[in-house]
Amino acid sequence: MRQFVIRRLIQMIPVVFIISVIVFSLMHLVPGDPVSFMAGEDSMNLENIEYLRKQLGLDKPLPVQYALWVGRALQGDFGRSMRSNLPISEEISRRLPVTLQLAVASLLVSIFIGIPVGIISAVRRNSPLDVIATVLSMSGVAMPSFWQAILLIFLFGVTLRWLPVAGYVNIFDDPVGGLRALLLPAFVSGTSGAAVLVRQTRSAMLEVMAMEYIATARAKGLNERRVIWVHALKNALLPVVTILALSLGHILGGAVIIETIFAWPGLGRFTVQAIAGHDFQVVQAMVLITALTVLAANLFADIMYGWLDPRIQYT
Amino acid sequence: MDQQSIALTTLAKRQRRHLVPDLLRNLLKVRLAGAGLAVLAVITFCALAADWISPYSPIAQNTQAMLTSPSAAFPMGTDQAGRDMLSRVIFGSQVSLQVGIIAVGVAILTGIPLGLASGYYGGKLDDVIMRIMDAVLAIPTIVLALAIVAALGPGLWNVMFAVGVTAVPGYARLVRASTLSARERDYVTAAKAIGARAPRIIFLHIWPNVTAPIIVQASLGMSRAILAEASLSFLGVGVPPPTATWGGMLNGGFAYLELAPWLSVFPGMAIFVTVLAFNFVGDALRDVLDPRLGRALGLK
Amino acid sequence: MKSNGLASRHVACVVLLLAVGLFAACSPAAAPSSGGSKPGDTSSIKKGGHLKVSSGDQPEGLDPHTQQGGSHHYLFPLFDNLVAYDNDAKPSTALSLAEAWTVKNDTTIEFKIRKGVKFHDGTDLNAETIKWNIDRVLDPKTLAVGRGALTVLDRIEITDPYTIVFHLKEPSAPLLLNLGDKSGYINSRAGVEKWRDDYRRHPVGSGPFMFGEWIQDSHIKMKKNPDYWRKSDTGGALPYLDEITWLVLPDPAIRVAALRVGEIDMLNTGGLPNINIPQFKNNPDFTYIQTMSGSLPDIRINMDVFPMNNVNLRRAMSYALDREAIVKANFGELGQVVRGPVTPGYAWAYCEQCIQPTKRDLNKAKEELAKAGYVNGFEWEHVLLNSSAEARLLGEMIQAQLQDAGIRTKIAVRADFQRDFYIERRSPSFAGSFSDRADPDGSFYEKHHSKGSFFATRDPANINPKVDDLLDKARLTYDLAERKKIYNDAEKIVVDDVYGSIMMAYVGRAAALHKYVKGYELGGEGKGRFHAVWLDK
Repeated sequence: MRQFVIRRLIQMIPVVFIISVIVFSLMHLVPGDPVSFMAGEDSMNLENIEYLRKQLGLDKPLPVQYALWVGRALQGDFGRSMRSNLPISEEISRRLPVTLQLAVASLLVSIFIGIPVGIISAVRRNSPLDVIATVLSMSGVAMPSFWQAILLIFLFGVTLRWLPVAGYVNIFDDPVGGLRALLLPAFVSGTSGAAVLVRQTRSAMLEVMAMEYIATARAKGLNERRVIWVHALKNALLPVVTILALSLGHILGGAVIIETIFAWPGLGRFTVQAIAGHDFQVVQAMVLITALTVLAANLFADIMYGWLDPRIQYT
Repeated sequence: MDQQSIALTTLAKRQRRHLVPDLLRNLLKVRLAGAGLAVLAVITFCALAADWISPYSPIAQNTQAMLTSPSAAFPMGTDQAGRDMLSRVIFGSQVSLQVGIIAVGVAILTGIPLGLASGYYGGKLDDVIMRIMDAVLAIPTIVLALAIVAALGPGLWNVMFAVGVTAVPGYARLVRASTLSARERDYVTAAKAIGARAPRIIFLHIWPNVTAPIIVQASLGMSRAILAEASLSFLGVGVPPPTATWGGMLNGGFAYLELAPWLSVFPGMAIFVTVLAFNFVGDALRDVLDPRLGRALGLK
Repeated sequence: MKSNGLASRHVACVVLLLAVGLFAACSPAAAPSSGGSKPGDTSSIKKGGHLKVSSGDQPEGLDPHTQQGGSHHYLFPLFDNLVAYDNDAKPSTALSLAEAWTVKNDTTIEFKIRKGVKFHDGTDLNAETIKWNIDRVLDPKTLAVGRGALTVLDRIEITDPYTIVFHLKEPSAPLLLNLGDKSGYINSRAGVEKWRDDYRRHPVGSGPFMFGEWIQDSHIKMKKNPDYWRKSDTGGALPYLDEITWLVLPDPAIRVAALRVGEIDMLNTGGLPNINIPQFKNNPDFTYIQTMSGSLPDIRINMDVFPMNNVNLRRAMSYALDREAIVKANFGELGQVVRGPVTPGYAWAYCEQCIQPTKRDLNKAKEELAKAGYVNGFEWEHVLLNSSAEARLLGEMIQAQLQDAGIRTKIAVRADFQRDFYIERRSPSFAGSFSDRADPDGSFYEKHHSKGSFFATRDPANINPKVDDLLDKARLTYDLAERKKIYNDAEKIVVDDVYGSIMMAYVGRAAALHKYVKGYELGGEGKGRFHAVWLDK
């Protein structure tokens, strides 16, 4: 197992390298350099632009710029955000807990809605519940998330006034307020994941249950039900675990929209604004870090997979 | 009767209990897929015949009829500039279908060769290609699409290209998997033995195995692309004016949700219905083209 | 010049202003109003309280000298000006850091600085700090937005710790009012020198509220300044509120929803979308305040680039626009069709009778096209700054209206329009919007004078020296009636020749408050004041 992990980690290195090249190229091999977007209406003389360009190192040849960026990034220095003039690492560490809260909460929502509904759907096949669940999960996938969000905000926030409409409340400062503020965004973000989970869990359970019937039909002894359940669940959860880890990337992407609508100061919004504002150092840093997180999650999923299913051997 | 027989009888009884509902469910699936196809037919028709069937031009501004609710003259109401919503929704179908086709097209045209090469030749080539695919996959789709559009500038083609690029790894992997399994078949070994050249083998033997999953993926990919365009419009990097797109209309109508809900409801429904249609059709295709899956899942 | 003569002229100015102010108050382009209790009634004022407000998106910085755009709402609670104006846009010593000023002669003004004012960091405010601030604005390296208004200064003399004298190169009528705007905000020198590049995130002023914290994308918090120098009308301490939190809510629908359910107490100007005004205007739970001073959206043009280099084509475009429809669709209640560059916000200079709005006239448009030799229209590219729904709507309306005259508009969205327009000078136009300044000179000169910061045309063949002359003259006289005449004459030329800009509308500003928010004042320049706000709950 350890060998497997080490091998996978080594394999990640070229992937990360390729990612860094991709994002660097996107930001630099483009007509119009990043500085031209920065010139404010009053500071548009060429002198200022040249000065800025030198400060950001944009006058050096591209490979040199790339090397400098990577070198500094490895030490944790991603440069400064052009919008706020704060070091990017500081911005990231400040926003990370916000997005993390959202990610964890939406994962929990996905799990606690998706899996039970999926299991019940499988066990009570074709019951009204199953049908409703299937319909809802198909609908959840068919609506753009921001539309869902706005409709839910109007329903729960404005019409029913149950939940706060927008704004982030630090859960450490104000636990109750923080939880209330977290509910809607987590729900919206989690339901699309839940929809996928429902179907996946359902199919996995059905597949396993079909096999188990035949296997235990040949077995002696009672407790047929319990064996089915324990065995079925354990094997059905396998693909589910993989899906969960893989959906991290989905959640991080969805955070972009959710954070924009609900006005949460997280990493998603940070990235979108940086892209719109041509804050290229921020974009480079964020893409790299997000990608690394996703890769780590994939590795974690594979490890879990191997641990849960002893039949799988990792050489 | 012995234990086995009892068990088998119980099993049979249990299966039978589900037989009729499962059949109905399958029928429903077929019905839904049929409905989906019908919807898609309507939308395609709208897109192709937009010039003839839409009552007004989508960009004609009627200053006398700004922000009017649905009425006989304007079945879907008008927007702030006095433009007929029905016409705009009809013309919007053009963009949505275009986005879907081009995005999926880009993904397929890039993904298939990559997947085939990777799966068939294996080795170093496979490693390199798959690492690149991993890299693209690791970047969240929206972020990648945003960055590409920001880099290339706003424009219908750039948006479609960006959405397509983000879908490439999915197709590449799919094709690679099919190629790998097909490669080990007897007829391929035989073909190699008699000295058939690689392109011939790929085209004749491997390709047929690849088409089915691609078709399924493509239909689902269309709905993904349409949703992606909506999200990009929401984030402000969608298709630039004056093209009417469903996502752009949805975005523009939000501020008026309470005052003039028809501005966002109709384009929203259009997106919803189209995406559902593609999903239903895609699901049915998956069942049809890969019956093994269907059986293993107990007549899903 | 006899000082006596100038003093009486000064009095005449004030009388004139009062007269104009009264007149303006009766007309639709009304002076702004305040919401809540009358000034003298302090018995029921509840001290303390935490106000939650939103103005939309956050500013890019809180350094008053360099802040771009119209995010001044954030600055008013934090800073005072050397010269401040009251709600009728008149300079008022009671509100200024200068407790008195004397115009000694046409080119010399002496200011007596208020004693005992401290910055939020405890340092003293005196003549030295004022001079330092003015120098900072004038320093090209600061990239100060209000620099242009102060270049008329020849030198600054400090005659005693609390007296400062401005020596001007030539008379400058706009100077006093400009000191109430971007050019005259006073920062703590110690603060600027301490924070340097980060100062725009740690502002230190002398205003009623102190900077607390700024969590990017979330909120800005301001705390009460317990040592604030201004007192209420009855001599009580100001401000009443303990804290103000500005919530950053870029999505307009969410913002309005938050106001409706009470999550925020008010939407400041810039935060209230004009389509939602009807919901609050006659709503018993809310107080609605409006001022016609605001901004002027236009198509800013470079007259060196086709098609803007041809006056007939410019006129054709102007005639083809249906400004009434544009106002109705884009600006609603707050919009008015434009007349000339002098907006109703400059009440003393605005003249409704002098100049008429350009009505849509497709025949005249076609005539002008024919005169220019483009009978079948022409093609050109218009640049939008972003893809927001508002920008698109306006752009698309312009496009469709011009199409009716045969003019084909291609729309491009370019975030780097400034480089394109001002530096590389390739684009003929971009979709602009210019906020009212304190003095009409601030907008008129900057947009239409050949030396204005926002005037892109360079070729002398395309520059109208008459306009330049008139705008220069308007700066040199202190007589308001005379200035008004000069501006009106200049307006006629600008509108006739569609010179420097294709203007579209006057857009005012509005704020909506819950009924329990009292004491809010919307100043003459459309920025809200919070020093006397209190919460009745």
